[in-house]
Amino acid sequence: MIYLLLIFLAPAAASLWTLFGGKKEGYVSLAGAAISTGASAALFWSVAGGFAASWSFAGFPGLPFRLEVSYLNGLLSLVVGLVATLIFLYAIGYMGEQKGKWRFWSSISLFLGAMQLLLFAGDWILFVIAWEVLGFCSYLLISTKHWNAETGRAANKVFLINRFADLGLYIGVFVIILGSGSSKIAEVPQASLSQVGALALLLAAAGKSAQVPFQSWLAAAMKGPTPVSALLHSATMVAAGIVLLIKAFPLFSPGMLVWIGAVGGITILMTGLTAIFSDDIKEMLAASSSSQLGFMVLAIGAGSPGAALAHLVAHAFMKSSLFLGAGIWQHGAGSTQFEQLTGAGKKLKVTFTGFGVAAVALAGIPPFVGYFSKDGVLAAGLQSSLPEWYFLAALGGALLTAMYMSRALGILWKGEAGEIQNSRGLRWMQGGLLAMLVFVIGGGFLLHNMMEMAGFTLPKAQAAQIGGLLAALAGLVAGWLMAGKTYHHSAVKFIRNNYPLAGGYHVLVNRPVMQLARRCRRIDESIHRVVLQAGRSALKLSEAAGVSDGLLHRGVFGFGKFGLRLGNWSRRSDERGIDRLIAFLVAKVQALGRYGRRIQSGLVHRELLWSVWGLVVFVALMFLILM
Amino acid sequence: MPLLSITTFLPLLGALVILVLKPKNLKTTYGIGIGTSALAFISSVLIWLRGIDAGFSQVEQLSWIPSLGIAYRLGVDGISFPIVILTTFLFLTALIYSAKIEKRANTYVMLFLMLEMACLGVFMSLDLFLFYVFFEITLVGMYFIIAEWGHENSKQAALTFFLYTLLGSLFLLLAFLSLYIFSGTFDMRALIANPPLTGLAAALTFWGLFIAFAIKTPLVPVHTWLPAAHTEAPAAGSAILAGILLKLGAYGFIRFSLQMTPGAFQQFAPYVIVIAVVTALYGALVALAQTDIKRLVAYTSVNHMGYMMFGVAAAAALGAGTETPALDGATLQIISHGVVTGLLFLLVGALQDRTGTRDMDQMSGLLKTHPVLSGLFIVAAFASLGLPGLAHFPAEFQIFLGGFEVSPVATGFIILGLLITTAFYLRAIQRVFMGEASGGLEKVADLGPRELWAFIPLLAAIVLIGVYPDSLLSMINATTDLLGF
Repeated sequence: MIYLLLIFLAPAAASLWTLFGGKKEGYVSLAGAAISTGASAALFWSVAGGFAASWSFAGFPGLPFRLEVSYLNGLLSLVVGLVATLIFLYAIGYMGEQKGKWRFWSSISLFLGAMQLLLFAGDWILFVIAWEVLGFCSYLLISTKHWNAETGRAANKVFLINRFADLGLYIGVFVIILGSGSSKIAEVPQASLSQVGALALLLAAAGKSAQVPFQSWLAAAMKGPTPVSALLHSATMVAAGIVLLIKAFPLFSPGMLVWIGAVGGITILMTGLTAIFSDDIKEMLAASSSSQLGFMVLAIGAGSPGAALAHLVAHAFMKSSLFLGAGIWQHGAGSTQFEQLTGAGKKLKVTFTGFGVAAVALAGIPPFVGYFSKDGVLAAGLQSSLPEWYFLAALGGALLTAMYMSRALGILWKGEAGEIQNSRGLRWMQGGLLAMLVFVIGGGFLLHNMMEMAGFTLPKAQAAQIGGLLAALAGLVAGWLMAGKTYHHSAVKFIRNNYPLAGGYHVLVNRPVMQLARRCRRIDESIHRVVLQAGRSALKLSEAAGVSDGLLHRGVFGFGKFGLRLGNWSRRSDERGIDRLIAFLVAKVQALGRYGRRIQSGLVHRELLWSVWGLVVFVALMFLILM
Repeated sequence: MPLLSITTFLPLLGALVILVLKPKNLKTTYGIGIGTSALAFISSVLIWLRGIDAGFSQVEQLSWIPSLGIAYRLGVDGISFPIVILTTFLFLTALIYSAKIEKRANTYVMLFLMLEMACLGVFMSLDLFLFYVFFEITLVGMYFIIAEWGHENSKQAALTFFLYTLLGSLFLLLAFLSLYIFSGTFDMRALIANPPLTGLAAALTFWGLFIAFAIKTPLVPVHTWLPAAHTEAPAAGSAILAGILLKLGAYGFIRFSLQMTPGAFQQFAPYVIVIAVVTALYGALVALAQTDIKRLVAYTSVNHMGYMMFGVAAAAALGAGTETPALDGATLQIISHGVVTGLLFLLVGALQDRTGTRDMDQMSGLLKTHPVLSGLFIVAAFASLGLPGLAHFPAEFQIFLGGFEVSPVATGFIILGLLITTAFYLRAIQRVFMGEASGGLEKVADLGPRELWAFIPLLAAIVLIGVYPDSLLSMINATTDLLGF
């Protein structure tokens, strides 16, 4: 329990420290992340020895919050912790000269705490909480440079698309809770989920993990600082969608798995193509993230959460390394456009080597970690109910992956280098990158064991190994040849911009909704005008007829409204209620007319005084009667 | 000790002290005002410490007009007490925030204290007659606050407010008469224990109550007084209006419509659900088209009260005997909306003090010049759009969860409101706080101590409810369980 608390509370404390203006933001946040990861490692050590536990505490009535420690949660927590710590290390260098530091560090620490909470959530409501806080942190982090109009728009787009998908999670969780009467994340559920519930969860996962048709937010998210892209949009936040599918896997009926597999397969191919034609290194990596997450979704669709988990772990290290490399170039060349980066690899050889190793690993070349995990996905495809489709989609994806990685390497190596500056934080940044590579190089040999411990199997098949390797090699060669060539065909542009069908979200959703909103506003204003008009006419009427009852009038003056009401109520008892009621109504409208007049003559304060005195009299009367 | 009466009439005592002493300088006036409302808050905390039962407890009763069965009856249960504590809390912060208003400060503070007494009376009354008296006093107090201390078009806005609410009061009076005539008692406990009405009488009474509370809450299409009143009222007035006065309607739906005419409510629940869905979505859409930031916040109230109504209607549709989270959520929504929207209106006031405008197109880049104000606004905005970990989430999640059981389709629609709310807050944040700072604002100071003393407690409450909703939910749930919802 103490470890578990440390995992959340260390980053949370660091976040609060920087929020309230504490000094040395970067180092404090790094310390928070390191302590959290240390606790994670200690916890992992004990779960590896067979420890498991769960705690529940007050949440909603009848639906308590739960924290669950299992091997799966511990493993994911350790991976997230390690990746985050190294990225924090890197970010100290990256953010060295940037403005808006306290906001950045505070949000990214909170983000880490929320991600860890998501992993250990043992009930769906806590899961939803962590899930949405992730989105919020992502919004804050992307808009780090809030003075720039473009980042503001990008942050809005990211958060809106995420929120839309979150509604899917809400609905899915409602279906689960109402179906089972409990919000517990059960390993062995009573019954599988209804179609609505399953599709809603798929929507949530597709949104968070940037699957088709939500792939475009990830490209927009690249407007944020590069450490943010490396942590949120490769290893953690997008991975939350996969974590959701893995945790909900026992709930899916076989019929639903086909849908999941279809989303994954389509995403692998579509976003893989986007990555190939991308002209910006960060957008290329973003598209690649969608595509790699597609592999995981495909594996789940193929019925093998083990393969998905293995690829999730492997991808976290590989993609973070790639982003860290991209960030170093961004600092050196002042841009992430490929045009500005040609030949940059020759100037920064250490960085290029690191980037290269991670790229080759992602392409699926042994002995790096990506080879093992990609094999797992391919084999899972072969063993599924629709082997041709799943295997072919994954194989095509492997080919595309190798192509875009090799093309990026080619661009960075070939050609004349522009001017590259050595930025101040280079050492911190390279340190973070190189430490990450340890896991990329060595991690593959541990994957099988880890999956078995987590209660999953990592499928293996010879056809998958051979096919995957051939696809990777072919892709590497093709990509290297593609490097340096530019394409201007309109179809290429369409693919590069993430398939903006019929004008994209802006035309399809934004504009009609805004039109509807404006129409509602006009309706609202006209209702208001009508009411005002009616009110004014009523006032005039009452003034014209306002001579009738002088006595009642004085009553209003003397006692204010309360005296009047009191009078009416006591008189109501002499059984001529209706008559009195009407008189009362007339009096009220009259009084209103007089109010209106008197306000205009500026005597409100006197009126007020009367109200207060009226109240005093009223209370005195009340007490008298009570005695 | 009759803590309930003490809490209720402490503010009145403060008003009388000001009336008698007529203090000349602001410090004394606000000192008395803040002091008495702080005492009222402490007194309400003492009520909490004595323990809130599921049924009505700590009842204070004195006979008053025995011939009619009218008595002075106060009491609290798990539904009313959270609103009582919200009232004392929000009035305290609103008065702290107001402590710079020089225009006829004595009258202003007196009105505020009188209003506080009336609101507390409404939420603690266990007698129809007493309830009605307090209910009407709130109307007068608010009218003058809007008309006298408001902005440009305040007279017109106050008049609209008065007209609408007067109409509402009329229906309320008729409904109360009908309840009295059919039961022969004004004791709300008796009316709740044995709902007296059936058939046509029940239906008519239900709709009478419904119209009265729909105007107060407000629901579409009788909501148009709200944006006008909110926009023109002074910041603290808007906070109280949104935070407390709207809750008179919300509380009325739960206490009267649901508990005294349950059969009719169950029968008409489908219509009410449709009205709730329309209210939530329409309010959100109109907010999306606003350029005035205060109007925008005002329309979020329409949206949030739509959710509240949805929760109550869902509970009514299921009927007593079916446990549902919807009513817990709706009750908590009252509290959440009070603190969140209260804070938002005060923040908008602070914003207007600095920029001199409410037009979002004329503001820009405030994050750079006023980071504390901007940061607070962003957190409050995300609380308002339902971010987990902040006050609205536990309320709305339970409302939608309960609603989904009754009508998945209606829930599917109303939940889109969350998305629209997100959209307009993001747009507002982008326009007002992001981008390059417009000139001249660098010299205007960020939030001062007076404002922070008002904002920080509200923020703390928002986070507390979000992170540990059980603090209120256990109390609310005990009562809703007892009622069978």
